[in-house]
Amino acid sequence: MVNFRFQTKFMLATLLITLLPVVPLYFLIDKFYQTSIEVGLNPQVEGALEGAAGMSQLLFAHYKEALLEIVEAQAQKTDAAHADSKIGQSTLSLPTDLSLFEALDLRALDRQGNVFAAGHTGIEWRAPALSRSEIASLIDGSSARIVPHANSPAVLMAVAPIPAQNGILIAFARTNPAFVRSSHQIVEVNQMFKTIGLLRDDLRQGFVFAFFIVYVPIAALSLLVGYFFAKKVTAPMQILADGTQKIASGDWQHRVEYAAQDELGQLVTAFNRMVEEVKTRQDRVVQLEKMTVWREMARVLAHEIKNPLTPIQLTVQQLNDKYDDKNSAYGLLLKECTDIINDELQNLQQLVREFSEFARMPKLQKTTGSLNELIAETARRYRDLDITTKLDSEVPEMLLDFEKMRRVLINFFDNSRYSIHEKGSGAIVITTQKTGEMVLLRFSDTGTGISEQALAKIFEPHFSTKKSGMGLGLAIVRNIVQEHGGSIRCNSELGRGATFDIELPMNAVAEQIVG
Amino acid sequence: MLLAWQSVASHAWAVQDAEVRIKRVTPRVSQARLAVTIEIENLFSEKIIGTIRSGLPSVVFVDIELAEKGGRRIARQRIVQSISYDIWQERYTIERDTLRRTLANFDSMQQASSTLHDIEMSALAQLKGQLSYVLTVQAGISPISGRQSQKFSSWLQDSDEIRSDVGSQERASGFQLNLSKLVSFLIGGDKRRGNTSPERRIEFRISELK
Repeated sequence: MVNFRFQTKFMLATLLITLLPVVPLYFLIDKFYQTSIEVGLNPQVEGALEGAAGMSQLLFAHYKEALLEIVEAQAQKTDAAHADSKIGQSTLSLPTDLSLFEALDLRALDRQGNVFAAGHTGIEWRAPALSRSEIASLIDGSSARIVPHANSPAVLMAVAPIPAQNGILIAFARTNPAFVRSSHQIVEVNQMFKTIGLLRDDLRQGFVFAFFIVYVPIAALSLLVGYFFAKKVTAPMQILADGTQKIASGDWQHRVEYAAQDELGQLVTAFNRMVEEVKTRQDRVVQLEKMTVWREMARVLAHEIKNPLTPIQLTVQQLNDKYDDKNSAYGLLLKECTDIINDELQNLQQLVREFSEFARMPKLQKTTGSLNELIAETARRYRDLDITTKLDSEVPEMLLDFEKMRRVLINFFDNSRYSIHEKGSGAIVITTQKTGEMVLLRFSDTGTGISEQALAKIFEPHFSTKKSGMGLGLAIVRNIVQEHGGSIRCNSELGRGATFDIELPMNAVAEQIVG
Repeated sequence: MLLAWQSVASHAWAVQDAEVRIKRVTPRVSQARLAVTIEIENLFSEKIIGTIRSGLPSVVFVDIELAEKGGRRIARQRIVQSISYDIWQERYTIERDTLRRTLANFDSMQQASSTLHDIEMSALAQLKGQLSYVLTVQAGISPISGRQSQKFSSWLQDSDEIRSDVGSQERASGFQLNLSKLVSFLIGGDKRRGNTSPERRIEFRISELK
């Protein structure tokens, strides 16, 4: 649900950002288009273009007239010359000064289409050839005329009759290339202009369509990218939300997994750390509550047991004192009984002492000192054991209740000694190591070890695997470690020994030293 | 609906100029076939004349349908004539299928293109003397031929290529060129543009025809 809402919002935002510029952009483009069309397609430009096209046509008409004059004059000359029999198959004399044409080509043909006179002036140029049928279609004309030749102003063709020869004079003129080029351009631009005018709406539509054709994929791409990012952002949030729900339902072992090192990754890491701390604190609270109950019970028990001990002890003493030694058998029995009672009384007194001590657990009396030295010093007391110490010289001086910590170590040594004796042989290894802001104290032995079932309860009060003792040792140990802000855990395999890891914080120590 | 042309009647000039109209539709029997002669009015507006005289070819469309009255369609034909003007030789050309006519002046061109003689519609054997038939005719003129549209598209592209040759900053992306191609593609189709007449329907019996 969270995922859906956030993703939807993200997508809507992307859609809005993508589509918002469309309307003003559309109007802007339309305005630009209209303006440019109005600027380009105004009547003055249109008039000027039509005028230019008209001028080209006018100039071309002038060329036609000029060619017509030439062909008429040449036809008359040829006709006269032929009538006077001055020429046979000969060359026509043409004016050399050509101001209008680049080249001029004249051919005088008889009725059968045979050339009987020809002339050329101007630049080298091969005039178009005519087929016999084309010539035949020209032969019957009675006056000089321009003959449509090609859809181009480049070449002009004119024809005039030569009555004396019953033939015709055909003239081809090549116009100035600059005129041809300009004329073509003028006509083309004029046509283009008219086409734009006619296609005005289509062109506008084309631009609008093109705009949308370009814009739609961009918008789709933006949405796709938006969706991708929304998914990328919401995925870890969803994992986080799921994790929160699992933890809320009691699964304190659950941890959110998110590998990236971005802000969300940091959030996930912080969340996991928070869960860890809450769990630790919760465990500690539970532990403290249990411990409080145990202590109260120990206090009451110690009190209730201690009270009748003295009257019992006095009564037994009195029994012994009042005995008159008359019956030796009875006397022996009495001694045995009172010895048993006294032994049990001593046991009870020991029990009361331990209970009282457990119930009291005075506040820590911290002093600055070396943990390594404490370990070495305590180890020296147990010369009967095979002890190896690997103590990290980097471990600084620490603020600890050294008496309490000594008790912790003694407890470990005593337990290990018992375990090694039970097994028959074994060794102890003690190491210290500075790890970041913590100091790790590892106490290992290769004694009998602890079973998996027992491992879960070893820190509980009144639990022991030994034949003697009240089973309060490790409960007190854990209490002391926790009072120091540290933690303790045990790993063990039955028959192979046990390892206790104690982690003690250094930061609090450093702060207090500085203070 | 017959003759559903995509008319672009929104052009301003089409409103200003007189509407193209089918003046007369004359069916007749010729050589055992039904033929029809069609006369069109106001085909050449001022705008169209100007366009033709600039050298741009225009296209005249005539759609004819023969059907039984209230019944089935018998035949349908579309006549397409292209009219062009050679501004250098000053002559008009009308092209229809393989036919080509060259005319020296506007009036004769107008006359030739506005009257379609004896368009064959059906063999007489297919028609029944006692039945009434309906001829529906619609005509129009488009000042832009498909060829001209394509030419315009290539102008658009050419102009852009010229701009690219100049070395504008837009050249680097190549986006402008593609956009022009896209625009030219969108407007380059053989769409019908121009002035179209309303439909003209005439009813006749074969027995009444001369």
